Amino acid sequence: MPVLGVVLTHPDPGALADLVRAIPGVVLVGNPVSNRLPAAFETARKGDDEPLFEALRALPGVLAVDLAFADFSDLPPPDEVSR
Amino acid sequence: MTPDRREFLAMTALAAASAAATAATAHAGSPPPTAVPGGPDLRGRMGAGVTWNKAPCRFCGTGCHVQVGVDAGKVVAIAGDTAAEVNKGLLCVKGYHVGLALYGADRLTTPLLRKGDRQVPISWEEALRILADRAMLDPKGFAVYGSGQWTIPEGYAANKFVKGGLGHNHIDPNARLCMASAVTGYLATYGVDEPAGCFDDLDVADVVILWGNSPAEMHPVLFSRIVDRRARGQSVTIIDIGTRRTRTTAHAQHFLQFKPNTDLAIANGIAHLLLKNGTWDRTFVEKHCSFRQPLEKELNGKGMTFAEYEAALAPYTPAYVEQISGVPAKDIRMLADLFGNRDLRITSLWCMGMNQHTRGTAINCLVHGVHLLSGHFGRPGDAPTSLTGQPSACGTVREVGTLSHALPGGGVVTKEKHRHMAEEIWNVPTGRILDKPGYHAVEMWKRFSTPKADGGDIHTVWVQVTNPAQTLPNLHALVDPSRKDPEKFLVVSDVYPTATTRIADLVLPSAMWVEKNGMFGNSERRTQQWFKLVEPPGQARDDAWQIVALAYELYRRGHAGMKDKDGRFLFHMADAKGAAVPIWDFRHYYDINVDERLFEEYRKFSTMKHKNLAPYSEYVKARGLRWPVVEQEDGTWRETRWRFSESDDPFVTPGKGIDFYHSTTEDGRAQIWFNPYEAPPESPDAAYPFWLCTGRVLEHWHSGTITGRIPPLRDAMPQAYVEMHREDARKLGITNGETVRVESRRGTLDIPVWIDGRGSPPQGSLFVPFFDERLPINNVTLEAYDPFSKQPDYKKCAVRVARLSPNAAAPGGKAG
Repeated sequence: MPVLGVVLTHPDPGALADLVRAIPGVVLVGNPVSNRLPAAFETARKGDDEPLFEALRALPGVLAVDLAFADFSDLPPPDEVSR
Repeated sequence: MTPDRREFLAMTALAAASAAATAATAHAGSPPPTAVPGGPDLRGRMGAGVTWNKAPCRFCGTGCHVQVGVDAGKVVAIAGDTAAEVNKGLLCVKGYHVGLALYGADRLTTPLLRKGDRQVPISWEEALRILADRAMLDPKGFAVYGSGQWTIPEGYAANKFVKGGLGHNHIDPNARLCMASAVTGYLATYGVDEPAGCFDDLDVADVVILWGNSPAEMHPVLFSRIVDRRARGQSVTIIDIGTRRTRTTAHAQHFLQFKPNTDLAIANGIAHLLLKNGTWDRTFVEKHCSFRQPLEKELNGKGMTFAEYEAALAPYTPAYVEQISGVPAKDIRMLADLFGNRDLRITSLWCMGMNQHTRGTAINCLVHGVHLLSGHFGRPGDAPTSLTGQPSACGTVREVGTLSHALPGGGVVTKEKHRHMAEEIWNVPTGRILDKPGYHAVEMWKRFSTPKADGGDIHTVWVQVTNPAQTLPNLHALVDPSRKDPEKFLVVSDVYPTATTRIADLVLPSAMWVEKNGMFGNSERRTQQWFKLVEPPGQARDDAWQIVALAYELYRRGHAGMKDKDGRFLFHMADAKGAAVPIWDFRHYYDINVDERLFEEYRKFSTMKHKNLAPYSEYVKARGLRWPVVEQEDGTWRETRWRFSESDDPFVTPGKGIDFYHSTTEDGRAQIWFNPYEAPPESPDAAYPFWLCTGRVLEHWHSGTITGRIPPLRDAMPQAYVEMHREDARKLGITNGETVRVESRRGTLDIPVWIDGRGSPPQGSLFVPFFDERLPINNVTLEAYDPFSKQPDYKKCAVRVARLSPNAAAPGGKAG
């Protein structure tokens, strides 16, 4: 289960916190720092994180979603990738 | 995962994100320290077993630093490095997958030799014997094709092996395909390569102009750095000058859509108005600049007077530029008014859009010229800055000089003084280095794909860290014929199977990223270092070791070039007691720090063009340092943010303010060029009515070798597509997702259409990303190249589109 720490850039990050908390997968939202809001989320599978990123990017006024931390220590060995 | 551990990890993730948010805010616009000690406090987090170390990201040229968490010999976590000035603790979506890049299931783990239709495992000993046989066959026909993903020591070793050992110059990197025109642009303008400015400019510029560049997808952390300023209430105007709408366009106040190839007319139009309006910076120009015009085959052209320059620009009125480019005259005036305002700070950014251009050198020179003419140069925020797509296109290709005409430190093989310097440092006999440039990328592959009897004098190409069978233009001409010629032998060192390994005669498994020591050089002259943190899989081995091992095999066989003047091995290295270390034997490769030895030797070249580098040990402490790095009286080492500016560059003559100390005219002046607009080599016509542009997407990096093996990235963008305007599709009866045939005079590709997708080309234009091995658009592209940089133009050729099968699924997983 990947656990990710992200930083959202927003003109008024305080007003964004509740919207972020409402997104499934978001488990912790930190205190705003200037125009940035830190948050942590967890997804059931590795492939689920991209839609979550998209959901965060789609929130009103969000200028950027950057990543600050990613843990994948519990991931099983990768499947054979078909290309 | 237990609830406790999950909660613990979530808290760790939040703490890292909070630290990054704080660091990014605190760092914005702050002066750089001379060296960055320490790093984020991740010790103790995620359990005692996890150790953390710094490394630059493996992907683009931004040069973000990550902290790599390793447990039980495996990378288990990645965090943005809050001590890194470039990214201040933040990473893009590709950056955090960099840890997973190591763990695709199909890593290459043993050398493979082609036998008929199969590639069978062989030993390293046999692989090296075969390689040596090929090199001894005819050393001058044995070429090396490298990469901007080579680490600095790897590129240096390869360069020394070919130019100082084999005694020819047939080595060229894939960076020829992505930034060679930026090199020639800097050389022709300032007499020395690489940007004068740096990423700090983005923190203070009032206006950022993107010339055919989409950093929102290609350099997301840099773009985030710009848009973040808006969120903090600062005013920054983003102007997107492009041939199609991209994700970047959505953030731009102005989108200036131009017809392919006409960016030269736009730049000339700006210069014309600066003169006409009297808003050029007369003082700056008279003090620091000369004027230049093209002269066939002469990169430095010939001088021209100001009156001649003014007369040459006279036709480029706003109305004329609108007619050529399609950009409204009012927008040309807007650009000229911005440049004419010295109270503003203006930064220009560009990447492949301006470089992959048959007039790449010319447009690079013109954009520099607009900045010089208007005096928007030399102050923080006032800079023309090219970006690179690979992590070490600057460090390994431009600085180490792995281009076929170059030598380390900015030297060129055609200059006797530079050759002698290299021969001295390499301790090889005078005359060892050939005075004639080797084959550039397109020529190398053309020769490889031409029978020997017809002049195809390259019999073997050794490819390292790149995938030319997918990324070269016009693959049918440059690659395919060699595979049918039994005299041609293709060797590929890589980490995963690729389009190139699949057609190779010999495949060598390589270590990647933190499986080896390394150094990169990013787009802002920042040299970065990291240590090996985990073991490579199976028999995968360092690329630099592979070069050293082949060199030793040749030395053992008596190849004279592999001996120095004292008869010692070309890569002789000794331990602290003076005993030779057998680094050609992989069991002993890490007995000493080979990277450090190679770097310290390379560093001797760096003073020639004032690209001074610090000792290796300084880079161990820092998150990269921007050259020139000079030692201070107190023994510390200071980096340089703004070159040629007395306020920051230690090599500027005191009192001069601005000093172009490598001026081509040897008078401290930069060159303001006039280059006329000219039609491209191929344009749409009745038979091939569409423009085709190729490029990249956010999720995938280059040919997708790594990102295609990372499930979230692969799933987000599972295959390539052709972007098409809705009206063009309607006229042809094409529906979204339908597979069409894109055809040029060189080849075809059947590929699904994406209407109103990621990007939006105008009517008459198509866009296809090149990341998908299964949908190789380079069967279609044109190999025409810039006459000076030899960089091919992937951004424009003529194609047509034909329907094949309706009702296919929408591409990209999102359109429909």
